[in-house]
Amino acid sequence: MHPDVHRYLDGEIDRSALSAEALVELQEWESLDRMVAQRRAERAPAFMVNDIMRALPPVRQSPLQTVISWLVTPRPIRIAPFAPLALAAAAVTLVVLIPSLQSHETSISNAPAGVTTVAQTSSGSVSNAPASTVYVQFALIAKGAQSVAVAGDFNSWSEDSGMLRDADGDGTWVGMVPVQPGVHKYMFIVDGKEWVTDPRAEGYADDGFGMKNAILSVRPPAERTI
Amino acid sequence: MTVPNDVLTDTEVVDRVRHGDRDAFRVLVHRYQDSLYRTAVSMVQDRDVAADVVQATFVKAFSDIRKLDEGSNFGGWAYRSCVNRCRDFLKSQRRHDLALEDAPPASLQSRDRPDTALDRAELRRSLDSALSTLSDEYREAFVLKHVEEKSYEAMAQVLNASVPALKMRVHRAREALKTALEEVL
Repeated sequence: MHPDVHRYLDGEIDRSALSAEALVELQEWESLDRMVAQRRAERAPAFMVNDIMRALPPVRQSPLQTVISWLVTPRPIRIAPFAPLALAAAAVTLVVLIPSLQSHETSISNAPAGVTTVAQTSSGSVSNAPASTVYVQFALIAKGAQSVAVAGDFNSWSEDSGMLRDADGDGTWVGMVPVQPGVHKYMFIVDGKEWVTDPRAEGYADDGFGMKNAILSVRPPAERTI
Repeated sequence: MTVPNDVLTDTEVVDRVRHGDRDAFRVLVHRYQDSLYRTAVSMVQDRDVAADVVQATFVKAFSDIRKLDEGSNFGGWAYRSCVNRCRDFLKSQRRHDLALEDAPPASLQSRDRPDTALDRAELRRSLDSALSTLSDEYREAFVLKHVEEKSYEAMAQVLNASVPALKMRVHRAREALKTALEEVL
């Protein structure tokens, strides 16, 4: 193969720098590259993600993480008759000791892609407080639909709290929903009954009912100019 | 869903996995499974084996995710692991072939799913056959350059080789493939 063809394929020279002889060889290469293009278009089998997730070993947590996990995991509790009084006293003590917990700011900005984001940031001495809320814009094309909502773990799979709107009636439903940073699952609900997977999601996971939840990962708004 | 600027980076997803968010690992699988699978298929020439290699790569990555240095590149790490697994498979295959010299060599053709588009399948088999004539070093360099379209700098990180050495491997792989496929070109 002509050395200049290699240099061209390596991005070192422009096509216009190739001689007639090199151009002929380049055309032969381009025929070969059309075969390689088939391989470039190849995708992993659809079952692979779930096979991999099922094969993962259990997560090993450090002792500290185990303690934190125990503290933050919700569990049912029984309250004795006088317990509410004790709880109220404890609540008053907390408010006195940590007044900065009550201090929050809310601000609004426009993200570069034209997506409006609203962030609630915590201030004061609570640097480990839950990360700030991000407003995510969801969109689904559903021509002829009467209503579209988004339901996910970020809104407890509520069927009516994440309503989208189609203001101009063109079938594109859009809505902003508050989401905490992290990895979430969600689906759309069309006309209050039909559960639809987002065709443009970042990833998918089986929902246990024969359909797929969409996956959404949201980063904290800390770096944004607010 | 339209918030590309808010999508977590690999480093952020890795951090979540390290802190026990098992589902976050699904995001990494979605991001890298196709490219790892293509690389593995091109190297081991068998889709079932390639799927096993990719699955083992991800499972190992999940188990070892605490060993990944802060700020390291998950994709490059996964690629290196996948390529090493492919090399191990090919070595074991050669040992197996030596032990059973009369057995036919494993080929994509024999284990591939039926393809309705005969021409496409023929071309694919021709390419696979030509790729199988390359040495492991040339094949993996060619695949990362022309199938995964990686830069030489990115390839150097994955294959632990210098850029000039990789250019030489890719050049020789192109020459060898062109010769091997002369009849169908």
